[in-house]
Amino acid sequence: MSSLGMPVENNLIADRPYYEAMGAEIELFVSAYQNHLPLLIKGPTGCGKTRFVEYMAWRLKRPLITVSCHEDMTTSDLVGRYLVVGGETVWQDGPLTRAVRHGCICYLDEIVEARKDTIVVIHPLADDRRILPIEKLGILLRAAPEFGLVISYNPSYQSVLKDLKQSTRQRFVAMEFDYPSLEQEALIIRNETGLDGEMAHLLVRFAQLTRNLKGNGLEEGASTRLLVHAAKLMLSGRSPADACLAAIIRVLTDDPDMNAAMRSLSESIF
Amino acid sequence: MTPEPLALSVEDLEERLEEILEAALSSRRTVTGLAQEWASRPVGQQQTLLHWLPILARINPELAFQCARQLPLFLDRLNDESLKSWLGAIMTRYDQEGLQKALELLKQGPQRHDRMEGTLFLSDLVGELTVFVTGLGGRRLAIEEGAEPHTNTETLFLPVSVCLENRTGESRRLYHCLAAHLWGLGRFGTFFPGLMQCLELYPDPDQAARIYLALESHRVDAILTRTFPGLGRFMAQWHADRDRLPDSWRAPVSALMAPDAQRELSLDHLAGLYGASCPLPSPLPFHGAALYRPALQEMQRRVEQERLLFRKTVGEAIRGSQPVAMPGVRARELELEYDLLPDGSTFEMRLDGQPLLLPESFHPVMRSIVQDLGCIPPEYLSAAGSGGYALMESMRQEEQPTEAVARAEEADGRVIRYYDEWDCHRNDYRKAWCVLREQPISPTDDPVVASVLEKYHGLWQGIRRSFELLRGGDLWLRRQERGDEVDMDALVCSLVDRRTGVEMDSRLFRYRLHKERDVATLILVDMSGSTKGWVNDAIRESLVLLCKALQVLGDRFAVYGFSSMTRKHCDSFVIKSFEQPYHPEVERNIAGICPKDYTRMGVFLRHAAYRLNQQEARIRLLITLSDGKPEDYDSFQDGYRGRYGMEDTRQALIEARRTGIHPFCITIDTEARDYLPHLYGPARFVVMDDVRTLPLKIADIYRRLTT
Repeated sequence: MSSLGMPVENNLIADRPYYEAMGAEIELFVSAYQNHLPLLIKGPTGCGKTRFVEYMAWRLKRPLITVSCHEDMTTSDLVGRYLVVGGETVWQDGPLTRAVRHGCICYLDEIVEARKDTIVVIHPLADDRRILPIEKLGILLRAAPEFGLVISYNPSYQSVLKDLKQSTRQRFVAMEFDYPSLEQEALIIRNETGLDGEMAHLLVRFAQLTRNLKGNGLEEGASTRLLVHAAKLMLSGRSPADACLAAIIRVLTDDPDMNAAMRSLSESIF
Repeated sequence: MTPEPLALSVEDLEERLEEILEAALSSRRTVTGLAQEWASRPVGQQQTLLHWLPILARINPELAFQCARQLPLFLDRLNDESLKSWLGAIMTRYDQEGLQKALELLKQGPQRHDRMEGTLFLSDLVGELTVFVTGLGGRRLAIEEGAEPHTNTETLFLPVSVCLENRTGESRRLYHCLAAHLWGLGRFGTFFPGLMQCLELYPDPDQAARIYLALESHRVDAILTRTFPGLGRFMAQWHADRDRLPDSWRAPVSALMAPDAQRELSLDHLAGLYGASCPLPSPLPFHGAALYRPALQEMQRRVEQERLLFRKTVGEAIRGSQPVAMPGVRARELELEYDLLPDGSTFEMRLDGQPLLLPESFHPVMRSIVQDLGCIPPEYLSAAGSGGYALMESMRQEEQPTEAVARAEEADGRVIRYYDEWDCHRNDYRKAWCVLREQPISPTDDPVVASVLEKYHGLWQGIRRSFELLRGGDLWLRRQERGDEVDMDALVCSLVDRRTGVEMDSRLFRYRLHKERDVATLILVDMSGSTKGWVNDAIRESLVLLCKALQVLGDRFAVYGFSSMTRKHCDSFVIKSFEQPYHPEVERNIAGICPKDYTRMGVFLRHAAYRLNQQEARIRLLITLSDGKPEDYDSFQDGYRGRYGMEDTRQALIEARRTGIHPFCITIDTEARDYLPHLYGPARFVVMDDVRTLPLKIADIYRRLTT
């Protein structure tokens, strides 16, 4: 049996990703990783979950394999499949198998989007057995000591049917992310984009106003990611009002009333 | 070209007016004076009068007579739209409060309907302003019309219209500033429970209040300017005149601009300015009226209510955190502490050092207490004698936050459920406000339904064919470039090709296509009185076709009818439940759909969402078949109609969407294009201009929705 695939060294993160710690999440990640405990990260969209995992992979010097989960994803997509090369069948590891075999950090983003029969494949990996059964090869693959499993989801907009099952949840150490404080978020915008401090503050203040609307006709307020987008538009010469409209307001809502109200809020700030 | 009609003479007018106003005339009251007045008017105005008078006379002849007398005073400055709006308001007032109140409104004249360029009406902006003040944060506030702009700390009362220099944009900003300023008075501590005592130290408390509020207005404006620079720039236009402040006011106002200035500073300066008895600075357009009593009254009510609610909720949480054997909460040495995060957004409570979990829905109450009182007072954190944290009976039943959905009961095979209703005036829910009874519909035999397939035979064949094509199931796609598994047949063929020297086919995999139709659909059918006649026939015919099509398709579906008569009688009729298979009996149920009472839409949408959420499906679709706006017959003021009904419906739809349901509306109300985007969002509804085309189109609409 031969195996195909890119060398995992390609997944090493060379440059330090910018990440501003909110609390003790870095230490918690390190402790969990050292104790072979898988991690579950919850938090609203665009609050820095993926960036945090990238930062930790860089810090721990482990390759990072990220899988964005979706409802058409099958177990084969995660574990691997046979390919035909030159008239022979050749096994190709899926991203999860590669991570298990080579001791990478595997990050399953938005895990609840995956079908339930796909999610169960991680169960034996996420408890003390740390094995991955590969049915098609008829083997049980034991995880390398450096292997780490991280999953994430956004609890606020999942439908009740897409909630994680208890049997999955209760294998993980959980971390909860939220939007940073005003000062921290302004610092993030400044460092990430180069926008000046005062404007970054105003932008974050506007984001906070939109977050007050969550549950009042808006599913989510503006995420840090959207603020970064708006800041970049501002730096390219767009006026703050135009940048907020394009990068935040129109992205968040289709509702004309909500759109008008958010524009009023943006006019109040800028 | 049609020639311009000629103005009517006195005689002609007299004749017409007598005919229309006959019931309001007597030997001493004739139309001669009216006819002379109107004869001098341009022909356009005469036609307007003769258009409206018969309409008004049908409602009340006296009202029509008085309108005929009053209209000449205002007609010159009203365009058609404004006139329609004003007379509409008068007729509505007559419907709700009788003739006297309608005549009062008539005498006031069309102040709010006198549309000048640049005038902006609150009614056009109320939705936006409500979201705007919610975005500003703090306690949720409602927006209402008020003769004098002020706040009672629960509601912002704003003028019915504003007009600034003939510029609508500026008027809009003025509304924002006014709303933000009144919000700021409540948010930054201008009103506090001890204010009355402070003012009563002065011989004239009202004059003291005027000075205090003028000082506070400057302090709040300074905070707003720092927090919202955009608003600050707009306000600066008026504050630029600060030089015109009376001399004795300059120093206090400057001191109040400091970032650390609190209301105590205003109270300190109040003493000096009251004694100096100098004139008050003229108020700025966004400062509102110097009213403080409504705010203090509302605050007193709220503080008491929230104190009870706090003790009840914390008491329950404590009981929940204690071992069962312990005798509830006593006035013993329980140490209850709390931390308020710097941004005021989150609370952490501890009981005897252990974290105490309070429901997240309770956090706004805690924030509101802190906003009113500056902290959670120590007495709130101690048990109230042997009774513990018992809730006082004085809390009004309707205000109690009940878990409405938990109070389901079954009686005579009917399901009874209680649902909250959104009150846009309060900007909050009325708890367990609506009583919904779910019951089977009475089946009947009706030839209209029985003959549907015969009548639409050709159409049905087409629908069936197109729906059969949509049926789900797993499909293995063979000979693919990529796939889940190797396609052995393709591989063998390919190897044979290689041996024989033919070019190999690279498509060697098979791919499992999940063509899964995991859809659950609930169809909500309007059975209000207005559907009587051919609308009802069209709805029933459409339902038969759609149900049969859904059966072909294999989608799970349910059909519920609805009708209401006040909040206590909301009837949901089960025409087909999700569990029930499609069956000739369902057709008899469809035949049983008949016009009943009103359309209290919110409660039915909430119930439909509840039923849909019991279904485990990837896509959950809620289709409403309706013929008009949400409306119900109610005894409370304004009732379930107009903005109240719309906003409750919108809120119910927002709740449904939040649980992953996709609402969609099919309506035959041709005016629906004006209000459905606000309720369902763009592209989430279809307006049928001709109800007779409904059976022809409904299956196609469904097909487009789910593919």
